[in-house]
Amino acid sequence: MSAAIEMHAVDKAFRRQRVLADMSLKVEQGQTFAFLGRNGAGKTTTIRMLLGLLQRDAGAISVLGIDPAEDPLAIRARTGYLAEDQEMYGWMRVDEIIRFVAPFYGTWDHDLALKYVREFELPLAQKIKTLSKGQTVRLGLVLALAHRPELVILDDPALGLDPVMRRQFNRDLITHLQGEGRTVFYSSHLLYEVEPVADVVAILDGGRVVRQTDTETLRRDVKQFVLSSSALAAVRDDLAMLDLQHANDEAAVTVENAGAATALLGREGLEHRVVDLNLDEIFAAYVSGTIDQASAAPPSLAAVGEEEG
Amino acid sequence: MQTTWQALIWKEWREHRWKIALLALASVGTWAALSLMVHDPHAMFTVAGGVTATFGSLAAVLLGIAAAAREQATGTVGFLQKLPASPRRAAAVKVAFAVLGIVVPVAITLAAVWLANGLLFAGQAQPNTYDQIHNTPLGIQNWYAAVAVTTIPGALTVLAWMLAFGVNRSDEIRAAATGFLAMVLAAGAFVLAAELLEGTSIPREASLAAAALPWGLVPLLDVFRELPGMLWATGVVVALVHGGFVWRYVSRFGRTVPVRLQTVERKAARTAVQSAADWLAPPRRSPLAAMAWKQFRESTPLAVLGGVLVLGLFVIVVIANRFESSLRLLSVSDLLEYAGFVWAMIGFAIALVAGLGVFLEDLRPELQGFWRSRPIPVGLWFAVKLMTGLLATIVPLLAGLAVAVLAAAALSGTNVGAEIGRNELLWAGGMILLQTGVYLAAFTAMTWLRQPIYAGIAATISPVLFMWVIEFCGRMLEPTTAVGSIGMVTVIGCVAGAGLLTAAWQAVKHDWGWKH
Amino acid sequence: MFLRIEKGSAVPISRQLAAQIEALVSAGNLAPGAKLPSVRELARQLAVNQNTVLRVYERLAREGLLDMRQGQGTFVAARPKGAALKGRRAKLAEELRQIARQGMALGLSPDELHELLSEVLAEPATQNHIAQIAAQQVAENPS
Repeated sequence: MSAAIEMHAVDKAFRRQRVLADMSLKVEQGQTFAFLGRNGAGKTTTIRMLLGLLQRDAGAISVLGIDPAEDPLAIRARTGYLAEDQEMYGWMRVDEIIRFVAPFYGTWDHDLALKYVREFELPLAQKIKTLSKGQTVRLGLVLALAHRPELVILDDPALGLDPVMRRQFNRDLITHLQGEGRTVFYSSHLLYEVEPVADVVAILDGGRVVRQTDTETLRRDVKQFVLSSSALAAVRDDLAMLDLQHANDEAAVTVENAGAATALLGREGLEHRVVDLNLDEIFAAYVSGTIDQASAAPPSLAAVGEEEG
Repeated sequence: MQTTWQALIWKEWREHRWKIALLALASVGTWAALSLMVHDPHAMFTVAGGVTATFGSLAAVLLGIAAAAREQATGTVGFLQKLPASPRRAAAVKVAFAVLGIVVPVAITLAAVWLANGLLFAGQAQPNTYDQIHNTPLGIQNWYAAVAVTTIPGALTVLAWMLAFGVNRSDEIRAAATGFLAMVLAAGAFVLAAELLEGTSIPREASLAAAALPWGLVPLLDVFRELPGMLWATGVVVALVHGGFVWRYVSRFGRTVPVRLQTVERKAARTAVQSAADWLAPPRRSPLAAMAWKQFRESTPLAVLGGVLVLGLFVIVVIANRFESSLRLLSVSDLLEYAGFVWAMIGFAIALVAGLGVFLEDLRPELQGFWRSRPIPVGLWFAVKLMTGLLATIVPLLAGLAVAVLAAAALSGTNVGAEIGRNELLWAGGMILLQTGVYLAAFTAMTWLRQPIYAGIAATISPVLFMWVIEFCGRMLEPTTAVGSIGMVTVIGCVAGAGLLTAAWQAVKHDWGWKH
Repeated sequence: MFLRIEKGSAVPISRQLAAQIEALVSAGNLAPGAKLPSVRELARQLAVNQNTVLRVYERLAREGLLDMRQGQGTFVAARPKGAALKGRRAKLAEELRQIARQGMALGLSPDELHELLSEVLAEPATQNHIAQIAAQQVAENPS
């Protein structure tokens, strides 16, 4: 079984601004893959490349075994795509846009479209410009799913939905996509939003995927240790640090090899406290973690005393 | 610290500067191109009179609909509403810049005439007597001042109508349609009233009512030339009516609730009713049928409006000119001439706006993703949109003309067929070609410029450029036979058409073009 | 079966689910032999990945708390195995250790901590709960 999506060493720049640098990722068939990054990290750029809407500068991309630069139409025919904040033709009615989109897909299932419309409680005879935000997203889903695509690409679909609608959206995702074994590639900037639904999460930062794993492993591997600065100095080289803060002579260090770190600190007999992080904190450590170098050498109390005196 | 006014003026200046510059450039360029074609020093004055009136009105329409509906079309009106300043201020600044956009092109064109006269003819060239004093109002002897005091207020009246009737429409094309409809209806009502009252002894002062119409003050300046009191009254009526229109615009601009907010309230009531109508018709038969259906739905409303305008204006013109100057009833050839004239004029405007409209929606960044991400071949999409849009524009206009011609036949009770010969058919064919050309030029300009205003200006001057190229080639090649001339024009036309098509296709295919 | 997920918590969703099902079983809200919702149903109800729910069921089945019967569904095990109880006892000990540390940090002596625990146990609400569990055990094992 080949991977549904494979990107290898992909580069992309707009004018002089480099958006993706040597980026690689792999999505297996049937997986629900959450693609995370801050706003502007390159999520939408990546998705547009997967659909052949943008050309890469270097590297290789394969979607359902096809290179999007060569045959984008074949990929689009087998893929369902819902863009971030997708607008649709406001003057069309719901039934009109469904009938309009249908003939472009060889595998369109009109009965399935009607089934989704009923389940999503969409008013068929209403104009699109009068639909609410949640209804618009659901209509976008109908238009992305009714041809039974093998791969579904959703670009931050929950953006702008209220908590009730988000939960309902996740429920739809689970019932209609995971339940039917489709591959789902799902971008977001909220790790805790995707945790309940995702099999695998990938964190995009600095133009590349910095971590790709499932959320439980992520929680197990990324933890914060609070220990004295001198103890940190002893083990520093063996920690895979994401973030380091100093306060007085204590250090709070977030590492992505928590298992090894615990073992090491235990072996060395260094006193420490382990803090479990929530997913927002883990995400922040990856995309905005800083190593506090300036105070890496702890200021001695004597020196502080002198200054005050 | 900046005041609200300064901030608003800065914003509108940034949004208007290139539009105004382009309008001025287009106006001067058109005047220069047309003047160069005629070997007569008087001609530059005659041409300048026409060009300033045309570009003054064009600026009034384009800047008027932009002020009325551009913020609504781009969805930025919500931002203006949220500012801690009244939307009236934003509207007032918009009006000020629209006025500037009318005055500047006219002033610069007149300055160019003055300069050309000074440099080429040492200031000795004179306007034709026809253009000279007899046609100038208020006894103004200076030709430049006379043109300015008729053209600028005339264009301003058009601006006021566009602002008042286009305000808060959802996009510029709709604003333009509403504005034009309002003006034609008003003119029609006026002519009809005049017709009904004819024969009864009405005082000459009643014609003051014409001052309320767009451009209505200009004929009055002539009618009341010898009556200073009536000239003052005309000025007061013009100022009151159009000032009222501008006030209507300023007080209403931005005072709407965004559509999405309204729905929340409406939705609850609606869903209950509509869940009953739960029936989904089968899909469109083929991708081709789907694309054609969409373009047809997008293009026909405007073209049908065009057809109705052709008929309506025809009726107005016929009523207004029921008698020839010799008090003989209009002949069938007069009727046909009016029908053709109205059709050619409206057809040009509608073809232009229709061309702008074809890719207006589909090239908006928010909507491009929708169709580009689907398995739709871009070439087919482009071709179907272009052809369906063209047919859906030309055919309703022709239908309007056909009904007008049949009406002419019925009115005069003669055989119209005998009146329409080879020349008339050739002329009509030429007009259809002109409409196609303008449609194509507007279509191409829109794919590259992505803003109706700029694309509209570019498309308006395209026929002048085309004529200028023909004139230039004619002087270079000097074709001696009629066949040679027609052949030359055909070749230039084909080259221009092919060039426009290729340019538009490249812009759509690669999504090139100006991104703001 | 009422379960709730706390999004954004430091506790993984699978552990939240497992802990709540364990609690329901030990409190007797889910009687031995009771049928649990299917993986699909529970996933839909909670808007949680089906694989997560499946993993939780499988782990609890391995621990002997649940019984997954091919083609029939998932049930509460007739008699929770000793291993499961032992595991939960270890977990309770860990929680008590945490509490003890917190108490020390507040400056309480071991004696004071003992006293606090006794007070809690003596509260009427706790007494009622203990009585309920005892009654259940008598009903299940009349000998």
